[in-house]
Amino acid sequence: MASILLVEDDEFVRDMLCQMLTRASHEVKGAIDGEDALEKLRTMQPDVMITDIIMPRKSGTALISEVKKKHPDMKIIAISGGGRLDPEGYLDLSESLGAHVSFKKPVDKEALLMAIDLLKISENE
Amino acid sequence: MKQLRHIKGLPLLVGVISLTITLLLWQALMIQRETSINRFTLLAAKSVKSEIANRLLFQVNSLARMAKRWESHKGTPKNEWVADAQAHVMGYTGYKGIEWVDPSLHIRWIVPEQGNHEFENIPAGFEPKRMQAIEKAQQTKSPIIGQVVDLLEGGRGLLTFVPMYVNEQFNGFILGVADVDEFLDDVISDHTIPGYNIRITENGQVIYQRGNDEQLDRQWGYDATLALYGIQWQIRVWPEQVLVAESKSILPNLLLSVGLIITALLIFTTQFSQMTSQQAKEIAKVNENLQKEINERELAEQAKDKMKQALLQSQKMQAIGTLAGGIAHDFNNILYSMIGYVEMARDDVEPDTLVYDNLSKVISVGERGQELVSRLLSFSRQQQHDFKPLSIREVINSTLILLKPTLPASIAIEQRDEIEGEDLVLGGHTELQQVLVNIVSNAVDAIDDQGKITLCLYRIEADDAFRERFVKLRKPSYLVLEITDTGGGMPQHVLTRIFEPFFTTKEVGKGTGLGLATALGIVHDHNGEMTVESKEGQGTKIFIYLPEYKVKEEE
Repeated sequence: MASILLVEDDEFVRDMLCQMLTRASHEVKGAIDGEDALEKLRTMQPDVMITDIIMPRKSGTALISEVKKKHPDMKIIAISGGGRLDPEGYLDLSESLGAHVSFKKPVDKEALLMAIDLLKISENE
Repeated sequence: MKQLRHIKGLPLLVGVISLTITLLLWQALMIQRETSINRFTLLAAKSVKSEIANRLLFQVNSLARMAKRWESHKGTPKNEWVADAQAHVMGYTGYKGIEWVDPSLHIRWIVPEQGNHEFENIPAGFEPKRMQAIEKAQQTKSPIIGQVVDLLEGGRGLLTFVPMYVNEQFNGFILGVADVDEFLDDVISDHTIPGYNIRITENGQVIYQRGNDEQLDRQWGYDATLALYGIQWQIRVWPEQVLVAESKSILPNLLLSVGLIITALLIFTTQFSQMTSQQAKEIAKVNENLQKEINERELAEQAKDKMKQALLQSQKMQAIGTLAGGIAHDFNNILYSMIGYVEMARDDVEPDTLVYDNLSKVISVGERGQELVSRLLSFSRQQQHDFKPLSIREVINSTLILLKPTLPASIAIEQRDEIEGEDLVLGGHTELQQVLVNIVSNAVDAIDDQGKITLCLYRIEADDAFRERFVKLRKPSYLVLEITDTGGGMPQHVLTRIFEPFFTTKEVGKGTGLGLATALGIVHDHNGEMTVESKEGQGTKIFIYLPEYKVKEEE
């Protein structure tokens, strides 16, 4: 059971993931983009932040660097939508910037949930 | 003939030849005239000589006849002789008298008698010239005309001594005395050759002269020698001025003038012909140069067209790539959310039910869709081209050349180059051109009427602040192209979506919304970044960051 901040600009993906994570007994809060995420981070302390990479206003990578500075302990999972605008290199980049793990959409449900659990456990340690 | 034309100095040569021919012909005509005058003068001289000779002969003969009669009759009685002599004197113009000189060389009988009595009984040879003639006649026993002597009664005389012999013994002379001037006047005027003057000299002394013109004499005079009965006369004949003038025809001078005119004309025409040929050559050369220029321009145009085509093609491919990529991205999200929802729905139903099965099928179909998308994605990623070291300046300049015709005159383009030295990046020429084309087109569209687009180029070293801002940019230095327009600018809500594929503020059909999205994709392919600043009403600034390519470093 982890508190998750989900940063995803696509409405349906955000909703679906929220549902999916909630079903898996996690506490999920959604943010529509990087700015929104930073706003929400002022008042909450999630265990894990799951963020899309390409987003308007503040890209995922920028968000990751900022969050890493402000909340160094937070676990970050990066997901990318693929496509031309989202070369694979960006995932490696996000990992080197501070994301602990990264996935390509469509994300395997089991893999994602396992990652969250592992990160939660490592946090506790 | 063509070769001939180009001889330098041909007009001069032609002129000289023509002038020479003219002068030669003129000279020939002059000589011809001269020759004819000379010939006629010669004839005249001969004619005069012949006439004088005839007359002398004639009168000597008639004196000789008298002598013969004396010889045959052994003397003629005086009255007979006088009658004979009178007839004789009357018969010949210029005759002054006839005398009988006796063997003692004394004048005995004179006809006419009047006025001549003082001459009777004086020696016939009272004067050396007479004596000479007498002696010569006696010597030769034939008629002798003595040298011209001064007559006692005035004038000059021509004495003809005809010796007579009876029984082979000298029996005296028949002496004919004629006045030279009268005699010769008669001869020459009777058979006058009009237009000629005469001078007769004997032993260097002039005995007769008609007319006087030293110059004509010298120029045209002709001699004939008369040697008859002991006289030696030099007869010199020359034409009168009138005759010379007459034979002067206008022909030679006419020829000369015509010749000179023709010479002048020939020089002119040759010169002109050379000039026109020269001009024609020059025109041909100018033509050739023009043709060359036209060809070069055509080639340049063709090259430009090729570049345009390449750009267009690349644009299409890029657009397709971007399209595919854009669709793929959004589609991924769609499929992902859809599959996610269906999976959750399936979790809520009992397995082995129709609903469960159907939902499973939906998931399968969705996964197929994802596969399709992934293939589409790999296609869109195939747009990678061979990257080469490029000069940014060159890319900018060549793009501006391409764009020039499409830019309205009311929009000014300003370029500022602040890079020192090399300006290389590693990339695709056509792709980078596309980026510029897209951005500049947007800038032009943003400017309503009059405005300016500035392209500023500079280098930036990647320091900490830079790296913090541009997390993805890891190279040491970047070349920055800053494109500013004085257009309407963008409000915040538009600015945030500017790079979104299919996002456009233009009317339907006026823009695909792919321009900037494609441009961004290309810049990312080049490991660079693109950012936008805009203020509504103030214009827009676009920054393109491209990693600098340094030869040494890469190798």
